[in-house]
Amino acid sequence: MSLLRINGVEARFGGVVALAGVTLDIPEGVIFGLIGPNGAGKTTLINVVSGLVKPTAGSITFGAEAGGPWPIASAVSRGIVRTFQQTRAFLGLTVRENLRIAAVSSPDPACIEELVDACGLAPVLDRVAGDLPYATLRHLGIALALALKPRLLLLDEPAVGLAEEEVERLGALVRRWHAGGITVLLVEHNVRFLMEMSDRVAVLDRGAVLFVGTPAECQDRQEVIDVYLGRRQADAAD
Amino acid sequence: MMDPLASSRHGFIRTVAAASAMLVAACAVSLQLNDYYLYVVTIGAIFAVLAVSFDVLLGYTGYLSLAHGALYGLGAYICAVLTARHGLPFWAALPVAGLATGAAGALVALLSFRTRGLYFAVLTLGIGLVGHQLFLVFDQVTGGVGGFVGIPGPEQPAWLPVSPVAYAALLALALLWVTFVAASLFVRSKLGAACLAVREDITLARALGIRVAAARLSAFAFSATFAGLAGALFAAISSFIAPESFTVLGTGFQLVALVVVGGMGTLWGPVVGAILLTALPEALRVASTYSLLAYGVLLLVCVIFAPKGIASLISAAVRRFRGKSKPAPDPARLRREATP
Amino acid sequence: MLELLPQQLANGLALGSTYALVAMGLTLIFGVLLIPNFAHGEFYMLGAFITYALVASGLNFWLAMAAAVVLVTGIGWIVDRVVFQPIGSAPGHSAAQGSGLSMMISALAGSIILQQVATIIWGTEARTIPAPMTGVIQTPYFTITALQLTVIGTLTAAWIAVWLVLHRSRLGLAIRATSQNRDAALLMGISMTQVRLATFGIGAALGAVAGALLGATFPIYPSMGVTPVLKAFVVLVIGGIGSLPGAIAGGLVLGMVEVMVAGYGASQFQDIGTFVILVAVLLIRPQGLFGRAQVER
Repeated sequence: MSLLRINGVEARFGGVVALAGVTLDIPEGVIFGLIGPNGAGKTTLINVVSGLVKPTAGSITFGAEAGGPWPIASAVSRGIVRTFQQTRAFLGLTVRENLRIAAVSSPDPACIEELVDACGLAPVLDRVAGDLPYATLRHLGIALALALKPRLLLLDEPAVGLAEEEVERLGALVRRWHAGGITVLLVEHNVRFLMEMSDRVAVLDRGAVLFVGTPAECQDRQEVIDVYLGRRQADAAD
Repeated sequence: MMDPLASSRHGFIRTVAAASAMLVAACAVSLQLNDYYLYVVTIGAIFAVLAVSFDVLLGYTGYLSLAHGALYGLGAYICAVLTARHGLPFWAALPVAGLATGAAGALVALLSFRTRGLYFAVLTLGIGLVGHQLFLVFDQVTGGVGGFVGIPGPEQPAWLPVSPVAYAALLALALLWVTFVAASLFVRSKLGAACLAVREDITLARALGIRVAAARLSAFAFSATFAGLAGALFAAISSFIAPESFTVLGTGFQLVALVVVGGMGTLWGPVVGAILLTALPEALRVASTYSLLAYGVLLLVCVIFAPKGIASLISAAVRRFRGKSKPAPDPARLRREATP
Repeated sequence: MLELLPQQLANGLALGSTYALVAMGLTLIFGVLLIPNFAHGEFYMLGAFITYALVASGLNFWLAMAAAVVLVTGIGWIVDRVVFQPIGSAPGHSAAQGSGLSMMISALAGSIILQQVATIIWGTEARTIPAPMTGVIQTPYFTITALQLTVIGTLTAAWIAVWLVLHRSRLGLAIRATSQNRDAALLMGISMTQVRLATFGIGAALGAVAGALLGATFPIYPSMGVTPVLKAFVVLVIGGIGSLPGAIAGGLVLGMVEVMVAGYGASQFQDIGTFVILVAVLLIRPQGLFGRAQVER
């Protein structure tokens, strides 16, 4: 059964078409990967689903409820929670204060203790977030989102700039929470990470869906390789 | 494992205990002072009330309002009108003045929060100036430029046999204690956490389900309410008020100075700021011609040599004294380093 | 009532020209250096008082005004060096929000210090500069004094001069580059010292000119700069922060509105009218009339 249905979503900024009628089904309980070259509209799609940007046309259905997208506050209360590109935390505050903020609208603040353990934050609770190593900061950003007990977690480029073993730790964390019943929509430039993580993959190009399928199918399709994978792999080989 | 959210009930109890001890000490010392120094204590405590509640808005929520001089005046005039014209006792007029000023503050906030940053500061500056002008223009109610004369003082209970001047100082200190405890509660509450989120990163706050509008509105209303209470007490104690006490430059900016010089976002820093910048110049008034000049120089020295406020200097000194000589990290530097 | 309108407009234009002169300096300093210079009113006040002192000692008004402009420019540099530069350079001042607040407080301190120094030198009583010209020009619709015309002419000349400096000189290019992107300007080898000197110099000089001219019409006293600087901030916000045409248009609009409110309403509502306009403009167009993108800081 699909958890999130995106119906013909269109977003224009002035003359620029960021999304040209995107229709996608994201089944409940999957990790759904979204790839595409820069400017393909991935982040705009996350912005629309999370309620940060109003689409010029189209709608979304979440669970049994039609009538979306909703403004960001109502989206969060329905269980749609996002992170920002490279994930984001309150850099001027301590980790503890960050978590206190996440607890404000968490339906289950008790879960934060578990998150602190899982994300390796216990030793740094009283450090200022801006002071943390890059990878720990990412974990904090994801912990803030997970504290809200989302049904759908939108991750925008969580692995960018992380070293290999840090990416793996991050993947393990996402899998662990996914196993606990969270559906994940993952936008990521690190193709290998995305293919490893995802149950299904959609390729976006110039605001339109080019392909939807399993990671294996995706890697076989010539047009996908042409627009995206070929170039990315060439980049990665550098 | 340590509970990550134990936003320290112990911490709160410790804060209240420390504040209470300070209150008792301040009252005991005050009772030994002559009338002039009692007056200095009273004014210092009233400005500390303003500064502590203003810190909730400026320090914790990150909005610079210059309308608070006028809000302070509103509380004063409401109390004056209710007690002198309508015969209400002070203790009935005080909460009315606080609540009405809080409501007016909420209205100002609803207008002003459509803007941010410098625009917010200048918009509230405009509102503060309009407020000050209204005190002058509606002279039938306020007495205009000549001031409002004959405000009855707070009724003194028979069991407290101190002079009226000493009673005024005790009342001001007690209001400061109430303000401090209320502000501590506020910043430790969920609303307080939400305000911090608004200050740090408003978009991320929204994405984490923080009700941004409600959080900053309540911070503004909180500070306005206590500004109203401070104004009401000031009116009753002074028995005479005039618009010149409620100007944007005189009072509105003064508040900002108290909080920034004392230390934003600490609650106790602004108390130190109020002592240093209102009480000290009064108490050391040797040559009154030069006292304003000295005030300006003091302000400049403080802001140049203690940019994060006197509170940060004191904290650093305490840390060093306890042997934990690790300096507090500079968030700005860290922020730059965190950016790839 | 309506037949008074041309006269009101002429008076408003003259008053608005002085607001615009003060606001130009303020918007330049804010737009380029991000300093909310609340001490700017004291440049204006000192321009008036130094002119007054020199005229009283027998100097011709225009020479006195020129000397005052030079002196106030120097004072502007001293204020920048003593009041603002320590804030920009000291460690711990770098957090953007905190440093803006610190700048405001130090500007306030600078303003108090300059006012008190002026009080110590000249006392608090109001004085007047003898008017340098007394001519009146009659037209069928309105009368305008030669002094009012001079003020309007000075604003025009100042605008042209500032525009030429900004757009036709190497230094002007550096100033504009700094206001666009300070870090990039630094990387390109632009000397921040020169930009600061020029910006503060021009700003202070404009303030001094306005003070000297207004001092020839109205009484002068040490706290005379307070209201104009607050109004200039209003002009800044109405016109759009950092925009010179915005400062000029905002100043003229404000002057005319004030004269109208005083003329058709009641004079005690004059200042209220100002700030009601401010609130209205901000609510309808939060970035100001000439503002570019919203400056969110």
